[in-house]
Amino acid sequence: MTGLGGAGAQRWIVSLALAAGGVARADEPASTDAASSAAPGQTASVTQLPSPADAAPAPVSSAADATSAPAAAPANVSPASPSTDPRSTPDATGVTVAPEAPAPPEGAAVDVPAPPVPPTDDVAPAKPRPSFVFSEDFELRWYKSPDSLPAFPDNPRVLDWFEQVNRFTIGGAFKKWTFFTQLDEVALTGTTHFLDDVRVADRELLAPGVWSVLIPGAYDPATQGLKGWDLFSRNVFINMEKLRAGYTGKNISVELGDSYLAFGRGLSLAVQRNVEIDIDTSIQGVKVEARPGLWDITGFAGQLNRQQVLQDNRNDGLFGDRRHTVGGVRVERYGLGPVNLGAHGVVYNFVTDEGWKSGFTNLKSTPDAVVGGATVEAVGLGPTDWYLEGDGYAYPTADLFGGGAHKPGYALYGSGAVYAGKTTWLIEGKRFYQSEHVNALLGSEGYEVATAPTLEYERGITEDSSAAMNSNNIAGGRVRMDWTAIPGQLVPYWSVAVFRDMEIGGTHFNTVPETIVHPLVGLEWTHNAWSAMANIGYRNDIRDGKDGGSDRQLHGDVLAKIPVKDGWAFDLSLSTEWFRWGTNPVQQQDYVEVESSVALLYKGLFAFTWYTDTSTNPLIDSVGNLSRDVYGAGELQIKPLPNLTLRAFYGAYKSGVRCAGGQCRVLPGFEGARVSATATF
Amino acid sequence: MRSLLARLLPLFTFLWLFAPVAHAAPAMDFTLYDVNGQQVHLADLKGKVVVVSFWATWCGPCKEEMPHLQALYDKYKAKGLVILSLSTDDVRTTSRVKPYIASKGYTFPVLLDKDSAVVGLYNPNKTLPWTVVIDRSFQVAEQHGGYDPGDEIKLGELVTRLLGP
Repeated sequence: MTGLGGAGAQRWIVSLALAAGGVARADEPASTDAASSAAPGQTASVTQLPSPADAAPAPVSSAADATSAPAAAPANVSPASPSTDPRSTPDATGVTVAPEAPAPPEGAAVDVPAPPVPPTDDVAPAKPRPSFVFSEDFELRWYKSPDSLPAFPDNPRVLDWFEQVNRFTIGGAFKKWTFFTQLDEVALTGTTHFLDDVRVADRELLAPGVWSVLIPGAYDPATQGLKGWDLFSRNVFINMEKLRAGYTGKNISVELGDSYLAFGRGLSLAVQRNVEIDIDTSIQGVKVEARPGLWDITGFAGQLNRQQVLQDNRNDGLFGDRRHTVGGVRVERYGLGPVNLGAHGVVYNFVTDEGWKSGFTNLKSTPDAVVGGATVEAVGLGPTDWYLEGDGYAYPTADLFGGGAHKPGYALYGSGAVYAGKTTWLIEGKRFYQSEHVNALLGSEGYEVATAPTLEYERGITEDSSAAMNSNNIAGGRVRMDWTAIPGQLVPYWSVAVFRDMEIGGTHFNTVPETIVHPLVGLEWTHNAWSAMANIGYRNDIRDGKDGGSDRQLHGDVLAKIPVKDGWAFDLSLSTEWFRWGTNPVQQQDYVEVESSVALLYKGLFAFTWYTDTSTNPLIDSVGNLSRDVYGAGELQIKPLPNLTLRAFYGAYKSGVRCAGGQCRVLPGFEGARVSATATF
Repeated sequence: MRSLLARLLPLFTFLWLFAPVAHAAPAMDFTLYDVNGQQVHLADLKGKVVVVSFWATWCGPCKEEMPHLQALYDKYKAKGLVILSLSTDDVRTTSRVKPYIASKGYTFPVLLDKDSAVVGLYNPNKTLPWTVVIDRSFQVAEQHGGYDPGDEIKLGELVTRLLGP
């Protein structure tokens, strides 16, 4: 029961896969579509927790890599408080400790109701003790710079630099109280040199005006340091990224500090961690949740707190937080037969300047966006489940429209699951109009506050198709059918997505509306220690008119685990993409990408992985280390103790757009070496 | 470089001294909804052996592990084993969780951690899959990251020992 685990290693794999283009695009579809699981490149048995989505390398857009920011919000923590909530199932847990669990119903129910099971008598009441969970992640990176001095003999390479990143978290609980804090530190060295006795900085860790919580002081351009407590240097940054304390009573919980929250399916609010692309934004303020009877009422107010130190990607030019204000309320009523109802509202007020002062001054101004919506959910309505959500968007100011004409928007999302014999059908539909504007000012900060279900296969998103993910005028849906050929072992599936994207301009490459058709087939198979997951899809973005042509993308993913003997196993992954452009003014060069990894594993104690990534995409701004278009890397992971993982990586992976959780960021490439130690205890 | 590391390494090396306090801590309670809209309180399961398995629909190793969890659940549930399969999928993909479980034929309870509340309590590094085993006295007996072939055997042995005769 040990496994190569460890966030870091996995993060590398994830980021590598992501960056390298292939893999780690864990995506929502992953869940739905494909060989999702460990993105190619994710060899080991662990996956860093990304937000669902398929990270997709898209040649240009926005992205970054996922840090594993542990900012967890211990919400709803109520130490030892037996439930009296009527929503609980007979055994008071809803957990359904099924007695003799019948054979899995064909494609239907999940839990099997169980009779109450009284606690055993031999459990002596224990004196309350605090619980703690620590995590520590130390990493050192050597960046091999592509720069050189061609005027000198041998064209010597210069300006390599080192980066060291540390993340330490402490979380705990005692009786009804919880707390959590995350301390990040990053340091650069080798980033300066002297020319004619003048200090030259090749890169600065901190942008002007940024200060550290633990090293207060103002930036001094003369010394390139901090006035006052400049304990280290301009190239060290220590930041308490997250801090939270919570109380959980019988029917109420209160959190102060950093919390995460999502309303409905994220159409109006989804402030969540997205480690896949190094996003960890929280709401820093107060969150109160009351649960009187069958009601759930949640209120919150605070400012958005963006994670500043990237855990997996290059840190330089770190800039300060813009303290956007957000507040809202959600009311949910459960137990109306199979129906649950909800209503919610969120108010946003964005700022353009960094710092606390701007954030609080902004409270007096007119909100930039007001979003309100309602949800209806029917669970277990016969062999079906249904969900419907509608949200309206009002924009009192023109700030989210670049100062231009601003008009209200709306968003609709619905899903239905039907369990019919050996088949499971999932039908999802959406209609978004002017709803993405709520994220308009956050592009430079690399995150979004509302991420509605895109229904797209994110692993295949390119710089062009990423525009459809954030379209302000799009409608469509997806149907997926899973066939339980062998329960628990073999499930083939297919899906078809069809969208009508009517927005042009902005990040869209197309100049006329287009219709997107994306069929996909795949299977998941597991048997004992063997497993295979594969899919293949064909996306066609068909432009209106005779001259528009269409963007065509054929893609496929394969993951396989092959046990050998005596605890040894191979993990294989392959991700390919063939892309043909339609008519567009941006670029016309078609390309092919192939990403693969081969890993040799031993009982979760050892893993060696070799990655290869090839891409002819001209929009990628990194250069391969094996040839211009080919990237290679090796990674060794060792787990000497159950809670300790050591990793060493050497090689390169490419840059590019990654999409995950409905968001896209441009992640930088990497060439060099990384060593790290990760522990959770 | 040397001076910088000389200053930073001692600063963060001491953090590793926390490691020994790791085990035998009381389980941290939580309340979540399952895929059927029912509330689940961990504390209500005191007296049972509970395996909390963090997973997501996009996580390959998680999918490899789940059939083994189902087998364990089938074998020991009558003796007091509870498996809580805790989905860390975000709200965008919540609609896909139950269909995925249903298509596989799994019957263990599946909870939704839509606000990342519980994953932060037990798994701050956000590694998936992540397994937490809680004994009958509500103490954390084991935490484990990842899944490799053979892990299910060790988990089965631990569960058997914790369940007792």
